[in-house]
Parts: sequence; structure tokens; C-alpha cells
Amino acid sequence: MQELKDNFKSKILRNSFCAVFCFLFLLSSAHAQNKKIPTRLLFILDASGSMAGKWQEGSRLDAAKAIITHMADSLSKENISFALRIYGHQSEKSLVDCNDTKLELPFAKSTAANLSETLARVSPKGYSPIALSLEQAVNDFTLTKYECKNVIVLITDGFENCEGDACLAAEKLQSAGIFFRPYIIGLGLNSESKIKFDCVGQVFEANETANNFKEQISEVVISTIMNPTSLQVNLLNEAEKPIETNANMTFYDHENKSIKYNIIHTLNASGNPDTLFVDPQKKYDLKIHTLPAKEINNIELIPGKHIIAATSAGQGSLKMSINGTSKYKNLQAIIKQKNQIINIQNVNTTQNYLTGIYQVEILTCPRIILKDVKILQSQQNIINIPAAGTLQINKSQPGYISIFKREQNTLTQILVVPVGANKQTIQLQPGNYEVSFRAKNAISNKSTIQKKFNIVSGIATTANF
Amino acid sequence: MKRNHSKSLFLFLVLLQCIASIGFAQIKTSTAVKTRILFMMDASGSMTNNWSTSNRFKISKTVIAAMADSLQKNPNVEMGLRVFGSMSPLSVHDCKDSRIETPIRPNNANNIKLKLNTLNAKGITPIAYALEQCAYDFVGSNEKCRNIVILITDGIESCEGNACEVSKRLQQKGIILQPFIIGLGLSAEAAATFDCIGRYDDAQDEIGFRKALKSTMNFILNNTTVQLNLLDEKGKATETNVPVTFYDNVVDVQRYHFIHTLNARGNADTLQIDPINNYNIVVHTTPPIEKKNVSIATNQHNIITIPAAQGELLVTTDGLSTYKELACVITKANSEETIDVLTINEKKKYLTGLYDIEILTLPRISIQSTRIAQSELTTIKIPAPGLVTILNTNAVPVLGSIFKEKGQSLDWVCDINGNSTTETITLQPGNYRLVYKNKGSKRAMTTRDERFKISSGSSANIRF
Repeated sequence: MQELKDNFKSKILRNSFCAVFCFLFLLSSAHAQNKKIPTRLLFILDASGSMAGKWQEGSRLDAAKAIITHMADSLSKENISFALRIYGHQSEKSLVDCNDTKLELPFAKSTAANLSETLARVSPKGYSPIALSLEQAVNDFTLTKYECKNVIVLITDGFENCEGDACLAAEKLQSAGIFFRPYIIGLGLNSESKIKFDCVGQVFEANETANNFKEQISEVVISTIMNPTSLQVNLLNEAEKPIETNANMTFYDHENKSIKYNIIHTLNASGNPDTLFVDPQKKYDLKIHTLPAKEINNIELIPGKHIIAATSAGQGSLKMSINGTSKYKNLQAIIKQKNQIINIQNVNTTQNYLTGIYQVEILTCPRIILKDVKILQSQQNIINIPAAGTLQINKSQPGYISIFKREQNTLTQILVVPVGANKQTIQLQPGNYEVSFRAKNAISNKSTIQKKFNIVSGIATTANF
Repeated sequence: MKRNHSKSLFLFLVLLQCIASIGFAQIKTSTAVKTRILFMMDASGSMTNNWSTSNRFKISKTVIAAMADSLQKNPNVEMGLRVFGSMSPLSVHDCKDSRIETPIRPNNANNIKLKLNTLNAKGITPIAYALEQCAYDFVGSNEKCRNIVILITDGIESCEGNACEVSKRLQQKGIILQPFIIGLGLSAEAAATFDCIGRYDDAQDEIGFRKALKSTMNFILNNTTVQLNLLDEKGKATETNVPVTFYDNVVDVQRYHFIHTLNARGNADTLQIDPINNYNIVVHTTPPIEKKNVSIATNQHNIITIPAAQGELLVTTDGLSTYKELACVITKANSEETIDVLTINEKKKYLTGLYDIEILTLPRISIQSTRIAQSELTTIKIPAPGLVTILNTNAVPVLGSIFKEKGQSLDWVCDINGNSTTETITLQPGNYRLVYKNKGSKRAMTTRDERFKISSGSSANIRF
């Protein structure tokens, strides 16, 4: 995207119709601006005891306050609203207060004046309940009618020192609709803390040796927030058009194979694959949960750029329906491809599959095996199953009963009825059957009784032995 | 020919009923089985050629007459006589020259002998046609019966007919059992053409002819018994109570079908099996066992052994289960072909060996190489499930799927309905995620990812 724009600009300069083009370009970018989702930014400020540590001439907390003040000022120019949550500022360290976290400035009240007044009151004191702060931060983003891009910026000098799991808390933000992983501004983080924060979000470190550290760090963080690295996943149909969608995509960290995100593939309002914002510091292995699943491995993002990854994922659907009212309980079918089970599909449902050839084994009695079921692009393959008939078997004494399907002259045993049961109702597909009975305590083969039946859809037949 | 065809179809059906029940009849009441023998005699011109002590035609008449006399004593035998080539001279080349001279009846020896005296040998050898026509000869009684053709000839088919095909078809339809052929002075080459019609026996002179006919009769009428031993893993004949089918090896028709039984002494019960045929025996274990091309020696007690060692399998749940009618797909280990679908909580016998079991829980449970051992019950206990209830309080349709956390990866389990306000899904214990978003949302980043844990017998709620 960025590249495209750059190309475009240089072309414009060379072009004699510059004015017209410039106008068009501005129009389109203005249009894009209008469509941008509003951003809300929550600062989480560490005011634990360690923040009293030295930073240049003052304390780390002073540095953090300066960064927040500078960033808030820049944000107002970008029309971004902000809020402020602080932890470790209420209770002294000796109290070991792991619940010491509070939203001090909600979005509704965040003016420059309120901010400086709030910050002025804060001094470094207690513990660092980072996980708890992240959990509570979810509620700091009040519900809105319009869609918002919700961002958290955590300013700290160290990792969690309460019992909380900051990684898990950060991960849970996704299920609360805060999709952007937190941005962490580190003030003299030790290397151990830096590694620990890796699972929480993207870490930026303020430079203590630079006089203009607050301007530096603000610019980097804000530009990252404003120009997020993004990804587009194109699921191509058989005509190579990116119109397949609605499958969940699991993003695995390429390095440590852990699960990073689950994002359901979506077509945006213009019908294009919607842009995804994921941590640009990572390489991803992507599993797209179509049936069967597709994978795109080793996706590498480029900071500040829009990357497109694509895979073929042409789909059609399979519908199975049984005629009439089915007396089968929970009739299912095994869907296989190349001898692997792809899915167990319930009869009377529709399911999407990747285009190709499948084997379908419907667990009727007897089973129906279809070896060559084709799923074609955007088409529905409908399998109609004849309604079963009912065979009721009554036994006057315990005995062995086997039910056979007769095809031409061949008997295939399809069911063995338990010896003890004296009454059994069985659903059978239409066709010719034979039932063998022999009393349990008979001592001669000649006691075998053989009966033939023709089973008709929806009709009940009774066999008495 | 066309007119005959529809008529014969009807006759076939009548006969079919008669013969199809042979198998069961023999087992039930072996003494009452009627054997109906049709002598089909060659009366073509060549039969008058000198042979052995006189000529073939005269010798045939004498030998058949003597046999008729001897069979007369057997109350379970009925006889008849059909000839071919007796009506039109050679020059006419009459391919329909065959008729029933003495219809099949009890106490028929005299009728046959009288008829034999009146016959002349003249024409050609329309064997296929004659065989086709014998379908009509066996009509008349729907008693349980064995219908047998004994063809006596000195030549091969001289019309266009395909006697092999006719023979197969009549056997298939249950009209006749495998025919017997006695060739009079035939060359080896000519004799070979009869192999596909039935059991061929060769006679080079009158004595040979008498011998051949006598041994044929012995084969047909002697008392032959069969004992089918189903062996366990120690080689002992203890397996029983499974259905067994004997298929005719030539025409693939079901001849005998019974549930294998041990008699009062604990031995496999004796069977009366017609030695005329060879059999493909299918033992209906799971999976079935097939033993092909088993021949039965006539006039003796045959013991057929088939290894059929079995054990039992039961799939059940720990604790109180909420599964009903849960299907467990059974395949042989390392094979993909389904051999059976076992229902949870129902015991069933399988041949001993290794099986793979795919239990259709959500998510599926795959169990590789389960051993079914001789006479043992193999019980597979799966964890009792829990429930997740998804409450869609927003009344907005949702697109969502459930995934199971498996180590570091997510496995798709099922899609949720998304349109209903309440949906309850039965799941195996484990850690799951519900990944969902509003169906109408045009933004991928609105995807939510909800974790939940299922433990046996408990339930989890998810509300959105």
C-alpha cells in the first residue's frame, strides 16, 4: 500500500496533469481518512515504588509523566481520545497491595488540564499488578455504538510482581474486542523484563541518554499506532478471485508455535478481504479452518506496510437429506478424503468443503457408501437418502438373530440382535433382507429359521420368531 | 422362441421356489428330499456307429434301462427321459430336435424302458437347445427336490447353442443342480468342451459306461455328512452361534444357510450337504470369513475347519453418561475400510486381532490398535462428557466454531448454529475456545475468542 502510494506520488510529479491528479489523489485519501475508525488510547502508568528510580535529572515517574503529557498533546492533533489508568500509586509498598490499580481519568474527562492535575497528584509507592490492570482496562473502554480501534499504552520500568499472569491477561483482551496488543514503553527495563513483556505486547524503549527522549518515543509509538502494520489474507476460489470467506484463521507464532490470534475471515463492506492488524514483530504460521484445513506458513510482516497472503480455498457445499421423517436418531455421515476423516456431518445439515472428491459413508442400516462425491466451486451437492422402513422383531424365546441384506444371491450380515432382547425395532433402508433365528439353547443347525423381507420406505414390517 | 421365452420365465419362477428352498429343506428333513433325475440321451446319427460290443445307441438303451430298474427301488428318486436328434434326419439339420419322451414321475422305470425301445437315432446334436428345454421337464411339483440332468452323448454341440451358458443360467435360477455328462468314446479335445457344462466322466467302452453311470449315481445318492468346525485360537472347535452360508461355487447361488450350532455333546452339529457342488463358505463373523472352493467328498463324513476365533468389545463411559446411540466406527488396524459401527454400551463379538476405533464424540476419539483377545471382553472407557450452553442474548445471528486446545494447537471441533438463542453441545472434557463474530459484521477484527473448560458431568455457559 505504502509502496503503491510512493509510486503514485512520483508519477504525479512527472505528470503534466499534476493538478488534476493531485486533486483526485487528495480526494481519495481524504475519503479514506473519513472511513478511518476512531481510535481510543488508554495509558496505563506504573507508579510502583521502583518508579522513584533515577532517570536523567529526575525520577522514572517524572519521565513517564513527561512522555504521557507529550503524547496526549500529539494525540489531540490526531483527534485521538485518551484515558489514564495508574497502578501502584495508592498503597505503600509495605502493604503489598496487589489490587492497587485505578482508572484515574476516563475517556470522557480527558482534557489536558485534567491530565496535568491528575499526574501532579501521583507519586511512586507500591506494587505492580499489571495483569489486574490489563483485566480491568477492558471496562475502561466504554461501549460505543460505532466501531472503535482500542489501544493500550503501558509505561513501566518492570514486570508484574503480583501473582497475576500478564500474558494471559493480554491474550484475553482479544476476546474483549481490544485486538491491538498493548504497546509497552519501557523505562530502563532489564533484559529479563524485556523478554517477559514479549507475550504482553510490543516493547519500545525510551532512550535515557537522549535529551529529547519524550519526543522520540512519542513519535515512534504514535506513528506505529497510526500506521499499523497490516495483513490481508486472500482466500481464492477456483477462478483465483479472493471471495471465499467466513473461515476462522488461527495465527501461530512461527518461532515458538504458540497460538497468537483467532480471526474469522471476513469480507469488508467493499467485498474485499478485511485488513487484519497483528503484531508486526512476529512471523506467523496460519491455519485456515476450512474443511479440510489450509495452511500458509512463515508469513512475515513488514512494519508500516500492508502484506497480502493468499491461498486457494475454493469451496462448495454438501447437503444430505433423508426423505420423509427420519426415525434414525442422530443420523451421521463420515466424510473422508484420501482415507482421512475430514468431518462427521449430521444428516439434514449443509456444510462447506474445499472443492474436490470425497468419500461419504452414511451410517444408515446398512451403511450407504458413496465413493465419488464431487464438491464443485460454489455449488451445492445434494445427497438424498431414501427414508428407512421399520422392522420389528418379536422373539418368543431368547435366541440368536442376524439380519442380512440380500443383493442378488449374496447375503451380507448387517446387524446382530442381542440374544436376550425379546423385542427389537430396527430402522432399515429399503431393500431385500433375510433374518436368521435360532433358539439360544437349540442343539441342531436344523433349528435355524430363515425369513425373507422386503423393506419399503416408511412401512413397518413385523417378524415373529 | 420369443413366445417360449415368456412362458419359460413363468416356469422358471415356479421352479425357482422349488429349488431355492433345497438348502433349508435338506437341513430340516433330509430324508424327504426327492431327487429327480432326467436322462438326456443323444439320438443323433453317429450313435448308431459300432462301438465296443455293439453300437452306442443300443448300449446306451441297455445301460439306461438297467439303471432305471435299479433306481426304481429308491422311493426318493423320480426319473424321466429326454432325447435329442431322434426326430429329423441328419440332412434336415434340425436344431430344435429334442423332446421329453418320458416325463419325470415316480415309478417310471417301465415307461422309460418301453420308450427306449421305440427310439431311433437319426439327426444332429442340439445339446444347448435340449438343455434349455429340460426346464419344462422339471415343472410339476413344488416339493423340495434336487433336479439333476445326466447327459449321455457321443458328440459335441452341432448347432449354434451355447450349452455352457444355458447350464450356468439354469443352475443360477435354481432349476437344476450341476449336470453330469458321460461321454461315449469322445476325444480328449471334444471332452474338454463339456467341462463348463458340468461334471464330465468319460466312457471308452460298455463296461466303462456302466461304471461311469454307477459312480455318478453313487455320487448323487449316497449319504454324505459334513461337520463345520469353527476354531478358537487354540485350534479347538469351540466357536459357534454365528450364521454360515454355503454358496454354490459355480454359479454363486446360496445353497445352505444356518446359524452354527453345537450339538448336545458340544460338537459342531452335523450337516447334510450335497456333494454335487463345490462351495464358497462364508462365516458371518465380524468381519466375515470366506473359505473358497470347498469340495465335499461323497459317501463320507467331511470335517471342514475354519479358524474363527472371537472376543468381545464394549465401548462405554466412565460415570454417568449422557451419550445415547453414540456410534463407534470399527476398522481393522491400519486399514481404512469400515467393518462395523458399534453403538456405545452394546457388547459385540469380533474376530480376534487388532482394530482401530473412531468414537464419534465431539471431538472424535481415535483409539489405535485395540486388541480383541480370544473369549475376552475388551472394554474401552471414554471420559463422560460435559455440556456447553451457548446463550445468544443479543438475538443477532453469530458465525462461530468451537476449537479444542491440543497442546499448542487448535483443532476444529464443530460449528455452532449461531441463529438460535440457546444451543447446547455435548463435549469431551478439555480446554476449548469458542471463536465467533456477528454474522453481519464486515470487520474481521471484531472476532471474539472465548475460552472455556469442560469437565466430565459438568456444564459451562457462554453468553453473548
